[in-house]
Amino acid sequence: MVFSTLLFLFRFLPAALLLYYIVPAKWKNFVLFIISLVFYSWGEVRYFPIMIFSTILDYTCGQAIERNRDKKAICNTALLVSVIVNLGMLFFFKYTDFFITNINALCGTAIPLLQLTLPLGISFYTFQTMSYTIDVYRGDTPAEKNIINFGAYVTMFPQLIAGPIVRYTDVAERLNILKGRITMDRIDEGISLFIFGLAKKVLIANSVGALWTEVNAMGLDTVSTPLAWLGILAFTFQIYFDFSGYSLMAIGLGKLLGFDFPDNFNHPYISKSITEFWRRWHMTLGTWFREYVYIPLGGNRKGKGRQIFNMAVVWFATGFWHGADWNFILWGLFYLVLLMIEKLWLLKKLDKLPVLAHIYTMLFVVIGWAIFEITDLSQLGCFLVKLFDFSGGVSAAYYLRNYAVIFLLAAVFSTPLPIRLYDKFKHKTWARWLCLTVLLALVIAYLSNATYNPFLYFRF
Amino acid sequence: MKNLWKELKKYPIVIFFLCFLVIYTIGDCFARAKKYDEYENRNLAQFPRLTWEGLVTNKWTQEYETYVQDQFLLRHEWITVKSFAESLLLRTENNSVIYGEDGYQFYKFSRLNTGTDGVTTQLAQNTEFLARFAARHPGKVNVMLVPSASNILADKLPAGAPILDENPLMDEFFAKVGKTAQVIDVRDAFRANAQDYLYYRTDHHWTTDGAYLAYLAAAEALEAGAFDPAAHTAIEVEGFTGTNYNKSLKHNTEEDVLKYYELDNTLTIKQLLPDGSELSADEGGLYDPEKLEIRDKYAMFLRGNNGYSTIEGSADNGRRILVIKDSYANCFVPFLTADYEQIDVVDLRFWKYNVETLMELFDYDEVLVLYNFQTFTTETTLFYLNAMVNEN
Repeated sequence: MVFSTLLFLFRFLPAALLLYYIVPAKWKNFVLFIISLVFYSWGEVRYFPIMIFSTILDYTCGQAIERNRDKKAICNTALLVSVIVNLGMLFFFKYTDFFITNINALCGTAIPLLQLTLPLGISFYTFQTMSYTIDVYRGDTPAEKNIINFGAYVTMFPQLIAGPIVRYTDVAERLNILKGRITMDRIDEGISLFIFGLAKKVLIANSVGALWTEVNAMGLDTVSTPLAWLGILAFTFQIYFDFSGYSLMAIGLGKLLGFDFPDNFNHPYISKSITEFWRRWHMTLGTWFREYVYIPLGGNRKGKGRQIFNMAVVWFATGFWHGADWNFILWGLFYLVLLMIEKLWLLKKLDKLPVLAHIYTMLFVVIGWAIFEITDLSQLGCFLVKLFDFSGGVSAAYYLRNYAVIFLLAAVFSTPLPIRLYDKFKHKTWARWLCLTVLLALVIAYLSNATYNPFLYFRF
Repeated sequence: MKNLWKELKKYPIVIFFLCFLVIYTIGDCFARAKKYDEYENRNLAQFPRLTWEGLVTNKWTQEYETYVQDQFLLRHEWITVKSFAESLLLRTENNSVIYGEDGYQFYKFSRLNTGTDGVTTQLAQNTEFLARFAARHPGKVNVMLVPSASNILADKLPAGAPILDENPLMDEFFAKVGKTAQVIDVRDAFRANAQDYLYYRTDHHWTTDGAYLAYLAAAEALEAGAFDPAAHTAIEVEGFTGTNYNKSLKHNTEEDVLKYYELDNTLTIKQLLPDGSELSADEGGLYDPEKLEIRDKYAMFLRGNNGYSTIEGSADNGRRILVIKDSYANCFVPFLTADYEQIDVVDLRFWKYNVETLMELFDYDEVLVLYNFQTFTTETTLFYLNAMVNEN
């Protein structure tokens, strides 16, 4: 199920909230576990067992470590089992066909593809459950005693499918507060955040995304250079508003349930360097790779050479995590190169030229999205050439006119200005009410009309 | 309980949105399901029957989602709000309808369909079907492919609008079909009279005046042209908003005027068996005035799209014509009553039998194939022209 549907808003959400609010405190985690499983199974019931399996496995591993703190061998085995099984599941479902395709191409074999549908959200929840076992192993957190509580954490529906990547330590405290978990302040804030997230996704991402879809449908080779730029710019806005909108909805829903999820985006498109961009984009993924890959590998404490190697590992993995294709690996390595250049000498120079630094950053981010989005490498090459060869083709004139206001809105809402304005007025109840009501009404209007409502992050 | 209320009162926004959500959901659940949507011209999804198999294969959940989407309370009103919001954002289109000058709304027809063979375009396939049919009946087949509003009124489109240029494709079509059939190209006549009311602003059809202009252009080819508009009463019906409006729902749409000439000819809709024998016959007039009361007023012409119907013409000359057509022909055919004694009309979308049977049965003097370009390129039923025929 997707948040931005009438089905979610006018069936699942009210039913789930009512049930969750009404039941006695000690039942809340159980109810959360059950409604999350319903949410997950709605789209694909056949992967339901994987959720149960994941819950039991990581719960058991956590317990095994907790109860055998003094027996190093058992702890190591439990950790290894958790990491191998989680990564194994991810590899099996997400990457098997990629490897088979490449082996076939390389060796001329004809191993048949598995052609599995990717279980919803597997890239996210395997990372979440893995982080739990690692944290328990390191002694950063005590293991969860109650399997229902743990199940509620693993399956918790707001963040299950598309993040943010919520670590166990982020929610452990509130997961064990039964009485008084739900507070009016949180509900109040949750409603605002959820509606903002919905508006980002439905009103901006979907609208601007339609342009990129149209450009793709006419064939990337037929468009003129200006339209190519306009198209990839549309995708740039689409992916930001789509993904950050989803995260915001998740955080808002978390608040409605009495949890505080970590922030995932902090206006990435105002960044003045690539380094800064990655501190503002998909922050929970960055934290995850830092905490569980970069630092354990030694981070920057083992000399320049080792640091570069560590960065290479992280950025290869970041790219590959985003999709099982060469262009995603390329996309990760593209950022590796940019980040190294910045680390070695560019960063200090950028500080002195803020405007130029912003232009430079966005230029490479936009090119990055082209690499990210165009899976076919030869097509990608042609498209990148097209961006700079000033060639003719389908004109951008009509699209510029049709999408001008949308682009303007997307640009303004990429900056912190609107939220600052909102913060100024939000203590006036009527102003806040008006703002939220108008947004929600527009969202319902667009959803009623929607046949175009695909989520970009659904193949994760 | 009292404390809870005291606490709640401090959060009016929470109360408002939670109540809205719950009350609207209950309203939506208990509202009566609608069967049919006049705007979309389609049946709406109904509550899917719950079965164990449907549930475990996720078929039911999908159907249920469609049902919720289709039956959403005040759905049409919400969609209208969306259309208005798009206008506020200065969009030049909504739901695949492009807004042109003078209140014209054009369907955004941007590329050709792939054919049922999966290789060539549907246009190429249909051209081939038609050429083969014409080759079997030398000297009889006339083909009129009507340009779309966005072609003739191209200067009313926003600059650079992504609408397929149909002119080179029509040229190619006429050249190919022209080898075996007589072609009627009305584009010059239409361009010369483009300032007239040839197309509806809100509908994808031509107007009765547009059809008459085409009738004059076809007069020579069909040895027709006897219809005299001055000799008949023209009735004008106001308040018509057509298919393009149904998609766009633009808030300040200018309504169209639908015109028809009063004629007392008899039109009989017949259901035929494959061998041409009659199963049922429904005798009536050329028009269905009841359709003037509903949204789709254009459906009054020839009483809608029917598989096979036959008209008793006013001419006493023994001439017979077969019209194979899409809905563009519906307001064109009445003019032919002045020239023919029998006019048979076949719409291949609703007629799934062999046209050859009719050809043998009635030995027509002329065949007129009349389609709009856009419909012709999407139509998948033209293979019936040659079905069940052994060409060797």
